[in-house]
Amino acid sequence: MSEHNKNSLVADIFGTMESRVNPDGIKGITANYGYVIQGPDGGTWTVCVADGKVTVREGLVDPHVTTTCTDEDWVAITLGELDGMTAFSSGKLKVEGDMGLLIAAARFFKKYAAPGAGPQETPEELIVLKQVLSLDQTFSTGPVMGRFLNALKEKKILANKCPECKRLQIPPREVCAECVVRCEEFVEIGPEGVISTPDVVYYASPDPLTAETRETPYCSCHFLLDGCKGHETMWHELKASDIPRAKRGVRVRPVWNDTLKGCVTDIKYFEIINA
Amino acid sequence: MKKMKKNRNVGIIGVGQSVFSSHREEVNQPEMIHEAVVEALDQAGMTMEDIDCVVHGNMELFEMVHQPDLWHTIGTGAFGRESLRITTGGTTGATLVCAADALVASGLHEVVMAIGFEKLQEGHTTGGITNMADPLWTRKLQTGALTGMTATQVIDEFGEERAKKASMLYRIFMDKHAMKNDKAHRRLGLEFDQADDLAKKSPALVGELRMIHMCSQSDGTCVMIFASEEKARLHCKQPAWIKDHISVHREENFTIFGDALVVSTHRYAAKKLFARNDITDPRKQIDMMEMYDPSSWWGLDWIREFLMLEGDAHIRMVEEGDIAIDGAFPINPSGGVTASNPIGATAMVRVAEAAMQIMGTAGDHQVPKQVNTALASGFGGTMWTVLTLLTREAPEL
Repeated sequence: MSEHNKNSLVADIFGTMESRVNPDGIKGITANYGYVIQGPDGGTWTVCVADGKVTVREGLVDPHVTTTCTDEDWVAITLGELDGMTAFSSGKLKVEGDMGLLIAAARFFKKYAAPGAGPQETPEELIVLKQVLSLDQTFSTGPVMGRFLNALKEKKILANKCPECKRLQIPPREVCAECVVRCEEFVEIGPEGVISTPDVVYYASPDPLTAETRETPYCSCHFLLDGCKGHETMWHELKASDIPRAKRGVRVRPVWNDTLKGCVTDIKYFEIINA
Repeated sequence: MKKMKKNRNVGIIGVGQSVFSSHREEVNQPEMIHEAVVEALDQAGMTMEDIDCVVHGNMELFEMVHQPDLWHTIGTGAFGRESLRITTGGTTGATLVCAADALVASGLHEVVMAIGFEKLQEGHTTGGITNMADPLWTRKLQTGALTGMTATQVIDEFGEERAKKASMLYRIFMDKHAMKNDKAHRRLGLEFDQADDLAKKSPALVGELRMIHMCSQSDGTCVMIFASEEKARLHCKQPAWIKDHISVHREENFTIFGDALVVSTHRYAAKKLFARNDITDPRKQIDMMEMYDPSSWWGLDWIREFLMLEGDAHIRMVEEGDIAIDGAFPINPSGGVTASNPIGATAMVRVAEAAMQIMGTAGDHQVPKQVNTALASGFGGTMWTVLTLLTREAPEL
């Protein structure tokens, strides 16, 4: 454990954290946040969050995520003079461990006021207002998409074929947008195929319809199903545990849900077929 | 596609931009727009009395507010004037320019003000983008605006080491440019010797697309004033003239993945635009470009498409520093989209910044050579492209 300069602003920032806890901000969070603050006023601290309580300890105590930066930058970030994300992007602030935890930490504490900075009791000016939207929606499928979705209930994947350029459309569309003709011929494709372009997603973006954040990493993937060629790919997800083996050309098959409703999620995901 | 017929020339005579930042809580939307309206009017030497029509646009749903053009009237000054709202996704800003050009070139209006804005902190970008996807199919699969597929393809083609180096080099050039533009949102002060470290340590978002490569989410407004040739010459010593523009959209479903070559909308648009404007050697006949580069992977890859290059010519342009503000073919002296990205304004900022280079009003990020011809690109949706060509000399009609 390092010797701290007990009178420094950095020590004061950590020393006052327990008294500045924002109860709503730490709700449901259990994690240890390590801080390695470099420079003459630096030191190491761990902010332990559990059961709606915050305990600040000196030294690093099993941190789930560790932040490293200089004493000057840490003071500037705390006082709001330096944007944390900018410091991070420019390499001034380094993070090891679970980045997602750190994003939640922005809401843990009430604003820090340096000693002697004058009265801080004046209520903050109202400049932002929080709102949550949640609406039910219904969409018509039309007969072409309807036929495709209905087929999923029988574990069949349908494409339709352009009579001019002969390309397959997945999912089927009423017309070929490039040839501007109706596509009336349906063809069953797959259900097995190969990985074409895998996209492994590490950044957890919330589902706007449910406000739930997806588990990461997940793999959004274009598959070339049997009977398809060129750009006739189908977009779906690859099983998360198959991500380390996700490569172009690897064979896959769909895994279906127990209950089939005629929607995209009837296919749970595609999985790699073991040779 | 034949060249569009113009009734008269249209000049860009005023540009206004708010400061771009992720923290504009101190102003509401009309107030933020008003900042840029005032600046553009000042530069054009005009008042709202001179404006015949206001064209307004942003990304639909990003702020989860409908009809923002009506709500913003107190900031735009549009009360009692002709007004249109345009929203074509990421290309909105570029389409606003097309619309303003059409309204003036046709003779319908003498002076048109176009406004592109976004206040991303107030809405939900991923929510907006996800809601744009087909609700029956791809909505569940969307990864928001993030994809690492281009990174994968560039790495496949040029090898991991060269590809990763080039994309970071591109990123640092953009940051060096942003440092010269005091309106830019992210000015990180990156140095070239940080490239390897950042490429390794910056958190991965999707595949090899890392946070350092990706554009920002900014609040901000861009306003441009377009005038007929007669009015433009009266109000402005050196207008930027609109020579031509082209919009190329693909169908909403992604049909660009798989094992076949794709003619990108970027190359398709460039080919048509250059052919009808007698441009055979874009790197020589065009002096600079402002590109809508959503990430440094896309920026790197798209140089090849927009300039119709082959092989590794685009990578060499980056490696050899051609794209630097004082290089042979400067790209994004403003810092580009990786620096500032108020999405509904972003594509317009590209045209505005290209115009500023011709007008000579870019200040610290003015390209040192004289810019006679400039190219600007807009990007959106499932690979939509709008290209705009600007000139110092008024085009022959």
